[in-house]
Amino acid sequence: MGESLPENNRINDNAEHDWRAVYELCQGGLRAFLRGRLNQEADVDDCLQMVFVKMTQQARRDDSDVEPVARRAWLFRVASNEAALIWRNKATSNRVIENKGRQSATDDDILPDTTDKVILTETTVKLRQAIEKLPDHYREVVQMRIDQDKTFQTIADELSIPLGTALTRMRRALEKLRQEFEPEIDPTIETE
Amino acid sequence: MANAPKPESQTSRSLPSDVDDTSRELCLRYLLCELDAEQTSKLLDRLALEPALANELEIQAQLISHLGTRSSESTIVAKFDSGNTNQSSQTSIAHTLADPIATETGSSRLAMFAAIAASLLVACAVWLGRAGAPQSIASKTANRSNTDVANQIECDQSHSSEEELLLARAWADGPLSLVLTVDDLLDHDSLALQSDNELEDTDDEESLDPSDDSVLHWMVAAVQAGENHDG
Repeated sequence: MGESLPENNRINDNAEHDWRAVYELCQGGLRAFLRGRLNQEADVDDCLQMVFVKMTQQARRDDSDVEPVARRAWLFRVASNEAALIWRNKATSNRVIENKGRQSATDDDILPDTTDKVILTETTVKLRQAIEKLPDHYREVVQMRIDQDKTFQTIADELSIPLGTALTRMRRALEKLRQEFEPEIDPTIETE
Repeated sequence: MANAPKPESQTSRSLPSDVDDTSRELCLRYLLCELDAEQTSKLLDRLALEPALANELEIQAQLISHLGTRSSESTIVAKFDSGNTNQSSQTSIAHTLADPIATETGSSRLAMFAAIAASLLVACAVWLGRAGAPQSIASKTANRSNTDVANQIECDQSHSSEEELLLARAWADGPLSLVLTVDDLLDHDSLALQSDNELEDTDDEESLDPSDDSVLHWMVAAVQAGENHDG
């Protein structure tokens, strides 16, 4: 037991380091994205800070369940949710109270919330079921890119198809998933 | 171009057609870290100015984020990883579900066949051990049909007799029609012909089921009765 805690800390440190590297790489993109969402630069800064906090919490979780390939997407998703939250707070014109509530909710998020995890699991399962309905050539590219973390160039080489075709298949697969799955995704925006 | 972002841009998420395919692929590659620095810079410049592009990026981010989330349902992940087609995935699930049942059924069937085979072997061993030369005929016919047994007895010239043939044929026509019990056999002098050891062995083995009226017992009884009633 005495050795397991330092071991866990080291693993968490490594995970946090990896997450921070991803964050630094896409910080500019996040800022640009949030500028398109929020009017004030201060809100963008607040939002970025919240994204960083949530990312740190995610990295410190022992059961962090976001694949490296999806970390950048995860950060944008959180940023989107935080921007929506800021708009909602503004709409209530009682920002102080809302911020306090949000802060307390954020403190609670340090430990994985069971309900959120259940929703996330259900969503993931449904999404994977939707993937199975995709045409084979679409599903193949999604599987190789997301699960096997192969680049589009590698996928194109292995399948003997042009790079543009691999990209198009992935894009169309996402479009089909979006059509089938968008109603399921939207409610989760506010839960994050 | 909309210079000032508006909250209404949140609702434009439902209009993905505002973005062309090239932009979508740029978003996709950016989220998956496959966009070079120059393209990234161009995309980010557009990102703050084009709400539709931001919407597209947001939607793709959500989808990829969900796709890249490890499911707690390991079976689903395994199914997704191993199955290249719907059919193979469903088949693997069906196999997974059916395996315990199939295994149980198979093992019970195997046990049943093993028990039958063991019973036959034991019966053969008992019969061969007990039967001497006169029973050599029957030993050849342990696993054959009743008709075959009758024919074998009939063809054996050294031990053939009329009664023997009659008994064999009667047994071949229907073993149950031949009213002989184990007690009848035990009282019969023919058992005295066997050595003590043979008798002990026979008793030991047959004592497991003295009332056993299996085919072999009927066959032995018929042959022995025919021999001893000769003359």
